[in-house]
Amino acid sequence: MKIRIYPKLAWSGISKNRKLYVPYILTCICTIMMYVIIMTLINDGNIPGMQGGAALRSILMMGSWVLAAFSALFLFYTNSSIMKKRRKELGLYNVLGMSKSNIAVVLLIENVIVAAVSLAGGIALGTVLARLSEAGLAYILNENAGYGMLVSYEAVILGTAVFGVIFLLIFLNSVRQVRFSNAVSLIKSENTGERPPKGNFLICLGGIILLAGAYYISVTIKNPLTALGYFFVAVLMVIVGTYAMFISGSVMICRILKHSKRYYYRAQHFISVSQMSYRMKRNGAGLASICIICTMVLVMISSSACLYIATEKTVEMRYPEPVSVSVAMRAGDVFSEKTETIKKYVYDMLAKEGVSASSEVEYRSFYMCGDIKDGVITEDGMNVNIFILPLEDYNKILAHVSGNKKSESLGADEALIYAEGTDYAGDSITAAGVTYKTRRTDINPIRDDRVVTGLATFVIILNDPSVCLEHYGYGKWYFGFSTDADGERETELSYDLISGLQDTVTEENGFGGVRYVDSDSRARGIKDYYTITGGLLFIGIILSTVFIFAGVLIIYYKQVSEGYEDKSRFDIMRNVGMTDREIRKSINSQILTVFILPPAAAVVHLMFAFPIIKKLLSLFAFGNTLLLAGTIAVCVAVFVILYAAVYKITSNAYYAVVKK
Amino acid sequence: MSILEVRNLRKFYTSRLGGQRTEALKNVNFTVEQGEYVAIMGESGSGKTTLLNILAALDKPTGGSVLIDGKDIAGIKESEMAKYRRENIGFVFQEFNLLDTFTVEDNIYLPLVLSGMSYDKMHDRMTPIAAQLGISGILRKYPYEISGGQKQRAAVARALITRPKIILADEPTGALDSKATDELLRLFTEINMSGQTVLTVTHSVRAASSAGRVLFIKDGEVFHQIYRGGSTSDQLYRKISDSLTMLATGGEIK
Ligand SMILES: Nc1ncnc2c1ncn2[C@@H]1O[C@H](COP(=O)(O)OP(=O)(O)OP(=O)(O)O)[C@@H](O)[C@H]1O
Ligand SMILES: [Mg+2]
Repeated sequence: MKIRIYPKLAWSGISKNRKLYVPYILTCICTIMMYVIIMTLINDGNIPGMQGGAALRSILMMGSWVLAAFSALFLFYTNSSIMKKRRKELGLYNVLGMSKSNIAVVLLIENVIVAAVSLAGGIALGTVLARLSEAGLAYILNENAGYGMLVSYEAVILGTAVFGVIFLLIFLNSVRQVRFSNAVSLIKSENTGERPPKGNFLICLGGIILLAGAYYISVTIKNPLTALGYFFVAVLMVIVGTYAMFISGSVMICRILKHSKRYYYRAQHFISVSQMSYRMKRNGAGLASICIICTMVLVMISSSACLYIATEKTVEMRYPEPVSVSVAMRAGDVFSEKTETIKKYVYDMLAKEGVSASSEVEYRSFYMCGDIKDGVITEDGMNVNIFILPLEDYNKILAHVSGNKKSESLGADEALIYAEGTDYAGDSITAAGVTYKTRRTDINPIRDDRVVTGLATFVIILNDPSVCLEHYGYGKWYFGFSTDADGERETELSYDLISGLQDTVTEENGFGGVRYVDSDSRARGIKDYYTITGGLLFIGIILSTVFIFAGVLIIYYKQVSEGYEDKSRFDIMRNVGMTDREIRKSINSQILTVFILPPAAAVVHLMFAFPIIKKLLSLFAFGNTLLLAGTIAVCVAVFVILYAAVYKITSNAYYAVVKK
Repeated sequence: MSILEVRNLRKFYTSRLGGQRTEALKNVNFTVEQGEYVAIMGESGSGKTTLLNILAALDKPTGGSVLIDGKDIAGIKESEMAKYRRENIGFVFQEFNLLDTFTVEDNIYLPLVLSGMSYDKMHDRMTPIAAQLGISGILRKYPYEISGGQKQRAAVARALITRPKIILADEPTGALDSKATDELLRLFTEINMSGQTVLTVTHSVRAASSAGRVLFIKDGEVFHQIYRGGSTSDQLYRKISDSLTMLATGGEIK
């Protein structure tokens, strides 16, 4: 064959099948765009420099892999349904004298064209949208926009590489579809229904195992630091599992429904069930895609909204006093008169500034990041923040928070325990080689937020912890107070206190093992926190919007393309004697059954994801289970309304196509 | 009373721009008695399909009336039309019009399912029909898995299963080879013998020669008709051929 004919054939292959290719290319552009937006946001611009940016960056980084996996599955299926419709045309080429390798060349050129257009469009749109959203983000955060260049090279290169591989796989699959079928079956195939995949039961089983595994991970995860990695493993498992379940599930359900004669041979089920089983695999894949998009949107939007809403509450928890001073140093110095020197310095400084302090709180503690094994505390492992406090200091805090109403007393062999996030359930604890009988308290005395965030907290209150001095060398001293100044002034004060104290708490002045000297204000905390939560919310909204658009596109495409397929069938049915009302009814029943499933499955996913989401949010010091549940509920409600609207509009589009 | 009565039937097509007017049917009159087997012949473009579509209420006439069992079908409400058609008319299409989403069996059940009949009743009706049409063995197959002749027999079964007053067939043998044609014609004859009224449009002289009466349509009017009377199919075949030659050469027929 002449070389020149190939591009011509390829081009006409695409343009003759416009109805199939335009939505397909749009979908490709959409997925590439989502990927490029994420990669651009990660690689330069505001996020890396933001407070908490590193955590956000690694979340988005893993998110990009999830997105790539999802895109691969989704585009793969969209393309194979296009190829299925085109088999007749390709079979005709084959019959008219083109060899299968000739056809493969044509397909290659077609795929290159589609890939080039999609990559160009996706990268351009993605870059523009990413920059716009960055500008928006900067505006919200009152920062200067416009770091970095317009185009993020990392995003372009990675995007091209990842989607290049996806397009290559898609091309190979198309060739496979042509290669392993003879000309007659190629020509005929358009009219044949889908056959159930081989080993449908195994696919279903695999899907169940993957989903169960992912759910198990989510429900049992303990440590938020490792949760992040597991979370994305679980997400990938859920994506693959959802596809497997929806595809094999729809095949099985169709089979069961057809088997029940009383159900199947009813006017309102007969047509919808037969049409669903005619395209059961494609249906399953489409629904799985919609389900995954629903889940992603709900997770992103509800968790980021939740963090944002809770900002001030979270900060108040983390900063019980408007201004705080904390020093981490040798435990021997913490439990000595030396802390009076520091306190004196603070008061002098306040006096100089003309600010007076009130409601002072002060406590000393041993601190270690370790673990509790069989009721014994150890300094190995990074699972629990462990504090040991003297009863005297604990009672001061108790008086402070209860307004002098409460106090505790302990015997020499007794310990008071405050535990949060651990599964400790014993009635004794061993610290520094001594075993104490334990009692529980539900008041957390710890007010210093400089700990490893997201870990469990375990506080031991002892009558006389001086035995610990030999064993645990590291301690913290905390001093917090309110002032008569406003938030901004308090922030300035805390800065001055840091630099002043850093010159005071030194080796020369007799302090040992100083790890840090810190002062903080609640006002600053609130501002910092809004930067993080506001940024997260913004990114959540941007990504959700893009995902929703992609979802609407998929739903619309599904409806319209099926409409064109079904049109001639409904024409025949009309001729056989089906009224328009019956047609409408059967369409509604079909669309409804099909469209209820994805959001329903998404809600199930969400319920099982709840524990791990909560764990992840605790990395941002968030711990309000009720608020999280509430936000998710509201998001689901809003989402369902939106979804119903899309369903209504697209089913009208379907009906319009069928009715013509 | 005749099962079908066609009076002064006219059908004009006006092109979309309103200029051209085609008189597909000018003035068609004929009646069909209960249990008759009538074939309609005519040149391409003479209005046969148009006529049949109007008889099946798939299309509306410009003028005149169609009475089925004495009832004017123009008087049937649009919303009840599909139901009426389903219950009274069996239509066999040239292109089979089987649905590829259904097995052969389900294709045949379709009109009954739409009428809300229970599976057991449908099944009882199916058994003798499938046996008569020789499709019992392929009921579980899909349309793409069976031959053209089998498809057409399935389509006939779908028309028969509702026990319609009249079967209308538009060139039912058009897509079949001669062997399948013969089989289908034998079937129509058989069905007719059992009392079913059949009206078929055909180009094929052989197809027409199995009918009890042949109507010829020319320029939108019934031009001529031949009764089988006592003649054999072969004799009828010759008569029809002669008539067609006359029609084509424009000669008069006595
Ligand atoms: N929808 C239409 N719009 C305009 N003119 C039409 C339409 N349908 C048919 N006609 C015209 O009406 C005339 C009769 O058409 P019809 O299809 O009834 O012929 P026919 O006898 O069935 O022909 P054939 O044997 O080729 O099937 C033709 O001239 C045709 O062009
Ligand atoms: Mg015709």
